Amino acid sequence: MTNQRTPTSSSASASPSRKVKDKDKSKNRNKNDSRNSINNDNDKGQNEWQPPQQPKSPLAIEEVLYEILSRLDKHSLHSCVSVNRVFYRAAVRALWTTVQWKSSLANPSFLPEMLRYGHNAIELQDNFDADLDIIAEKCTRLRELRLVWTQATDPKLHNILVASPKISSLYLYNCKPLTTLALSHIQALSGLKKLELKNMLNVDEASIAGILRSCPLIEHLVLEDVRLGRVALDSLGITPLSIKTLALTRSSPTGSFVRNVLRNSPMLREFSLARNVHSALSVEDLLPEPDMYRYLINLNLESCKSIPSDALLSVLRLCVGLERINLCGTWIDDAALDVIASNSHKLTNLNLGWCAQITDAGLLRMLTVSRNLVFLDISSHGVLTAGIFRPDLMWACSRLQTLIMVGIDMMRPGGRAQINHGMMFDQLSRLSCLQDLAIGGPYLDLRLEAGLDKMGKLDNLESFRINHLQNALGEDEIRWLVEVWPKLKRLKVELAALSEPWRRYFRRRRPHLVLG
Amino acid sequence: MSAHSQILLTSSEGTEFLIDRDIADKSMLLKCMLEDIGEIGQAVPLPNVSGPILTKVIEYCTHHRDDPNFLSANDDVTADIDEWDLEYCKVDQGTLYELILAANYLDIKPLMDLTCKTVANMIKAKSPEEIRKTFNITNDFTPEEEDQVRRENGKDWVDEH
Repeated sequence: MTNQRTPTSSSASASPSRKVKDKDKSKNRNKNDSRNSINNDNDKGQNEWQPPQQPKSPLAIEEVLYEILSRLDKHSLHSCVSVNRVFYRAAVRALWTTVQWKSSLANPSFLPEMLRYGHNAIELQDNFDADLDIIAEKCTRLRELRLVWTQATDPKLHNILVASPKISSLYLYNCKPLTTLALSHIQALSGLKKLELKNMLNVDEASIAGILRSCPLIEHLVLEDVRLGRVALDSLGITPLSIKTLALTRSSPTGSFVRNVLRNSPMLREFSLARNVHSALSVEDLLPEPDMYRYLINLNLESCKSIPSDALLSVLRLCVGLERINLCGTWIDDAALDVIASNSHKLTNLNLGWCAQITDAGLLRMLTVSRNLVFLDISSHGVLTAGIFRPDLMWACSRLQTLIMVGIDMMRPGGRAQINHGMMFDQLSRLSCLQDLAIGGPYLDLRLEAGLDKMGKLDNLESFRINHLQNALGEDEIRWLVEVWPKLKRLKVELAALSEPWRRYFRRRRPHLVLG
Repeated sequence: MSAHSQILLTSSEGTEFLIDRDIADKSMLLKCMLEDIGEIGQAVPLPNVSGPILTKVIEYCTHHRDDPNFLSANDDVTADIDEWDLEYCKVDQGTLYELILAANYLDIKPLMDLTCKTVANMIKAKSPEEIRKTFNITNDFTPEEEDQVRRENGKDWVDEH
């Protein structure tokens, strides 16, 4: 890492202004102090003020420019660094407030730079204990702390938190030595807004309830791979929480845990119980209050196989403004699809992969009604048939960009594979916004004579994935694939369907294509 | 609360503005000044703020006069800007700049926040050349400095997610 030196400042302020704006003069203005606001550039007496010259740009005053740039993301800040000198100084300072401190950096100048520019966010990965001690000692204004795979122990974390009590975002991933004692230390962060614990094995009722009670401002709570199986959270009682985002991924929460948190989180906007295969949740657990999910826009119940379909239906009935739904691998049925379809005016992302109890009819209801869908996954093991492509029912989702459709049974209805494929190609070719298409399955056969060339209409297609075909691709089909879709960047075909010699042909004809 | 006391402000051109004390208190500068000096019968001169801009600033403070969250330092950079504030910022670049400088001078943090966020959104995701064009900025780096910046910038000294 090089020395972060600003361009020589001696020239910056002294050089005569050859630019239109009075950049240099304006730098002398201090904010806030009314006594200094009157600029004594021209030696006039203090009581005689000059009406302000042409408007000075805040982009020329480093202090003010810093205020503006500190609200930018890192990418934009990197651009700002190269604009001009004052942008460089302000942007570098803004970049240094978020620092990733890796153990591989053995640079002694690192610490002075950090201290000079101020720092309020630190991320440590794979770190040694020594760094944690330095942070506890030197960093008192931390706002954000992320510890990933560190050997942080309870006392070391405690020291850091005591030194920086204003931490508002705390992320502890895979920090194995931490115990429930660490969680009790977190309770002291009364201004905590975001908390993510991933892969923590030692949690108990008292610590979780304690955090929720002591940190009422938490808006974002993620407990992933955290063992919640023994936490009932009944001790929480009625405690109004500000939680807007809640994720309990792979943490096996109990019914009472879910009930108690949901009951106290009326502002919930995003809710995920993804991959909790064994959490048997009933209607009472998911709907502890009659009027819930009013603000919910994102619902993820992927692989929640122990939630019965009537509970799913009851929840979906209340969610009228959902934008993203993931019900992959759940037991939802057509009745639920009907409800989703009725409330789908804002729906953009829908994952119905591997839902064994839905049928063509239910899916068609959805497809003919949801106009704003951008992402759709309807993969299955032959649960859905080519009936979903029936020509008399047009799909309404003309803005679809991603379609994942593996395993549709093309033999049904009627056993007429060629006609069914024709219907599919017809329907798909109308999705002019499509960028990413994944099809395949043991029933799929891509043939030009069935109407494959109609898919040439998909001008915007960038990615095409063929996941298992019944028969290998024919020569004509391969030649067609090589030439079609000018914007194609990625093509994924199994080796069995596209042999090596043909792959070489592909690579010669389309050298920029990623062929997998 | 008893009847609001009122404060007289004078803009750079000499225009006078009579505003309620609680609106003036939105500006930390005025608040501290009035606390120190006490009620003054005379006008408080604001030579760095022109009449039109002062009008805009007073408009903002009046709209947010009863806002309970106004003074709590909101560190959440990702919070959405509400409708009224969005409309308020639909002004030309020059006015926006003057608003930033006025908010900075008068120390009105939420207005500073709002206006800076607005300008930040104009800078976002642009290349350096595009930024210079948008804001009519001259590149004042010497060729050596430019080179040094390019080298430093290329290195992965700050990781991005």
